[in-house]
Parts: sequence; C-alpha cells; structure tokens
Amino acid sequence: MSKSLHLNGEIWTVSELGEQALALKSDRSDVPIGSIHQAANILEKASIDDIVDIIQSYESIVLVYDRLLGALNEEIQAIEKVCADILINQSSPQRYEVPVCYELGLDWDEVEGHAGLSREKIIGLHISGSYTVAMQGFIPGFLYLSGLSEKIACPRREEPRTKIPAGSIGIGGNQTGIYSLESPGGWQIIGQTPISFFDASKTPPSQVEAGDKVVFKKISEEEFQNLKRDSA
Amino acid sequence: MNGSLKVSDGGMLTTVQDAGRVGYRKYGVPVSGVMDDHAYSLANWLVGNEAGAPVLEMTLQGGGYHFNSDAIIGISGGEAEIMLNSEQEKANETLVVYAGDVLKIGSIKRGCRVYLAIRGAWDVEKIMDSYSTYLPAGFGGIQGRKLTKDDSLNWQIENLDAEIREVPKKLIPHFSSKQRIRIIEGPEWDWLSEDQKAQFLKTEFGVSSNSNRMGIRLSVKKPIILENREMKSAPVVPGMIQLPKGGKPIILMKDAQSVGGYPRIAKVVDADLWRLGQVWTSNRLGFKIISMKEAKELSVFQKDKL
Repeated sequence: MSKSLHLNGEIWTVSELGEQALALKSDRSDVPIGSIHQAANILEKASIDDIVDIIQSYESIVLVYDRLLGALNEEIQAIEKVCADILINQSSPQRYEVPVCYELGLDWDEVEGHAGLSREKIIGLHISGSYTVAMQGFIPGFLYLSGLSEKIACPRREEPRTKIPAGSIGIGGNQTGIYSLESPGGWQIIGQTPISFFDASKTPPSQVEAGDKVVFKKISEEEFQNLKRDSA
Repeated sequence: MNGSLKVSDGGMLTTVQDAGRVGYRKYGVPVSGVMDDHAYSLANWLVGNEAGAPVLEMTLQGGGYHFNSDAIIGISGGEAEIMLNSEQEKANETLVVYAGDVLKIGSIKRGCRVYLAIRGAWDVEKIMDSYSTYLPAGFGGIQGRKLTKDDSLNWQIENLDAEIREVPKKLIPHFSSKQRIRIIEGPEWDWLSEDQKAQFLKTEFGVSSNSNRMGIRLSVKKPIILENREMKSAPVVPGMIQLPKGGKPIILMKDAQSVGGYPRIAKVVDADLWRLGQVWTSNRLGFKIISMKEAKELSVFQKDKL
C-alpha cells in the first residue's frame, strides 16, 4: 500500500517501512541528491510529532516514529500540514577543507591498476573534485561523498579489511568517503586525514550534515603528523 | 544511598544496554539497546526501575558479581544457573542481596542472553541520551567496551524497601529450538520470483556463529540467489531481512547501521524481534508472512500484555 505526498515541489511515494517507519521515495528515478537533502531539511525543521529519526539515502528518506503508524493518508496529511509552513533553508551549506596525506594510502596498486593512471594523476583528480556529503552511515561518522571523477572510480575490495585506521579516505565504486572511526571496511584506501568528523562525547556527535560540501587538500606525512599531534 | 558491585568474572560479552539510542541515525549512529526487549522489561519491572533504565546484557555466558552493598536485583532472559553465594536462585523473581554476597550466573543453556537489573540510578555516563554500549565505535556503557574482571558498577538508591515480585508464568517464554518468526514484506520482496518466495517461506534456516548484535546471519543449504539488479544504499531498521548476493539472509538487529546496500526482502514484525535476541547456533528459524495490519495488532497486544 502506498500513497503520494507533496513536498518541496516533488511528489513522493510514501510506504510503510515496518510498523513504525515511513519511507518517502521520489517519483523521479533520477532525483538529484540535493532534492533529497532539501526535503529532509524541511522535515527536520518541521519537528513533526512522534518522529524520532530521519534517515536519508540516495533515493529515499525514512521517518522513524516512536509509536505505531496510523492510517497512511492521515500520517501524510499531518506531514504536509506541518511542512507547508516551513521555508527552505536558503543558507549555503557548510564547506569543509579536508587535509589528506596520500602517502598513507593502502590500496594504491589496485587503484592505479584499475584506473590505468599514475598515482600523481589520480591524486590530482581526487583533489580537483568538489564533493557533497550524500549521507552518513555504515559506521558512525562515515561520510559518503558524491562527485568523484569517473576516471578514478574503483570497485570495492573483494575481501574487506577487518580494520581500517580512523581518518582513512577511500574509494568505493563511484564514491569517495571518509572513515571517521577505526572500523572494518571494503573501500580502497588512498589516504588518511588527521582530522575527525565524529566525537561521541558531543551531542550532536558531528557538525557535518548531509548536503555539506567537501574539498580535499594534499598534505605531506610531516604535516599529517603535526596536525595529528595538534588535534590530540 | 550509594550502592556498588565489583565484577569478578566479566563472562564472554557483557555490556550495559538500555531501551536504545534514538535521534542520531542520520550521523550513522545505530539505535543499539537490548537485544531482547521482553526480558529487559521484565528485569526492570522486577526491581521497580523505570522503563529505559540500564541493565547488564550477558551473552552466552553469565558472569560473577561481588556486591559491596545491599541491593535489589532482578534477572530475566535466557536460562542459566544462578548462584547467590552457595544458594541456587531463580530468575524472574525479585532477589535481595546483601553486602558481601557473590552472584554467579553460569553458561546460558537455553536462549543466549541474560539480563541483570539493579534497583537504583546507575552511575553510568549517558552518551547521546543513552546508556547503551556500542562496541564497534567504542562508546556508551562502561567506556564503550564489554565488562571485564575488576570493573566496578555504582548506583544511587533511595531505599531498599523491596516489593518482591514474580513474573507471571505466561510471560516467561519457552525457548524452543525451532521457531517460526512472523514477517512482513520488505520494499524489495517482489525482487524474489514466486518460486523464491515460496522457497524462502518453507526453508528452515540455521543460525551462523558469525551472528552478533548487528545482525543474525542465517545459514541455508540452498541459497536464494537474486537476479543481479542495481541496489542503491537505502535506509534500514532493526528486524529488516537483507538478502546479499551470496543468497544467505541477514536479519538486522539493534547495532545495525542505518543504511544498507542489500535488497530488503522482508522485516521481522516488531512483536517478534525480541525472540531473535535469544537465538543462537542451535536454533532453526522459519518465517511466516503476515499483513501489516496483523503486525500492528500484535504490537498492541504485546504492549498490553506487559
């Protein structure tokens, strides 16, 4: 069972993702990630009663309630009513410049081999990109970044690593990403940043929001160690 | 009054958990919390703590606890031998312990998780509004890790006037090795062919020892291989059953990530999710599909029961 919801100029198909969650999927198959972010932004600002979590991904937004869902059309009306009064956030997204030491990459052989390019060329393409935080997930503070040059896209490792250092910068398919915490993972690691985007002792644990912009800056191993020491 | 205990045996995997951590999934922070909500509620009820209070969740093995002060405790969940000093005690009853007592909980014979509630407000730091331990990122509970020997647990208690409670028999689950878990269709259910749907619903799955708080990995002789289709990472919730390329389903549990890249073929109904908090490798699982309406009715029924 599904019904439609109008939000931010898009039509969303709404369906139940279990007894306590609604999934909103755009009717457009090629919906830009920016539209997802805007809609999620409106939903957050609306502070709709009983919604405790808003999860966004590439094609859909999920609203998690702390109660059983009522009739679908009533839930949709309640959302539309509150959201109608919310103005889209016109303030520009945050922009982060992330220093990366590419010497600390672990998978250069695979990435060079797959791209058929030299390491310098790949680093150049990685740095010249402008990225958008598509979403966070997989592990707390993992930033999925869209905007990677297709020339340096690379499939994930066949055997994921059991441990990847915090701050690792990886390539997984046509995305690049940042591991904020040490964790297992299957992305090809091409560098490491000394800065962290996740601090569990803070509420909220991260300043980064989906839709924010990221650019990379190349640093030497010495600069990496200095920055790491300063932030410790 | 202050109360405290010292851990003499941390067991295999004992962590502080509560009802879960909500509101931070957009940062990739899972809900966490107890795997068996039913046993958790019972343990908390036994000691008169409010809903949402922290407990110790022991996995496969119990542990040893030396009480430095008098305390009111409650134990519920999987079946294990409980010894208070040299006396055998029962789960699902309020227990009064005295300073100097040693509580020992043995290996868990049926089910796989035991909950220990202690009356009072625990001196455990809340991280993002929750006491729950999330091991993969090392936060929550006791320094983000499992309990080990010589750890201390402290709490504040207003009084020790215990109301001795006993869990009604009908609320104590029977830990059957074969279970039929009720599910509802997931967003990608129709990616299965009619034959595959039938196969999924008649298969008796085993439980892999790779299972953990993130997910229960099912084992099966004949994997269900989906036709290769592009799947973009999409939101998931606990109870979601994913079907990866290898054809062996994974049931996402409390520590599961908020977004996943495998087809979400079904979801365990909320009313049955706690049962999965007690399944381990000796269990066999089958699935029965029901409607969303029935699933919601089961949720209401379960709440009323407690």
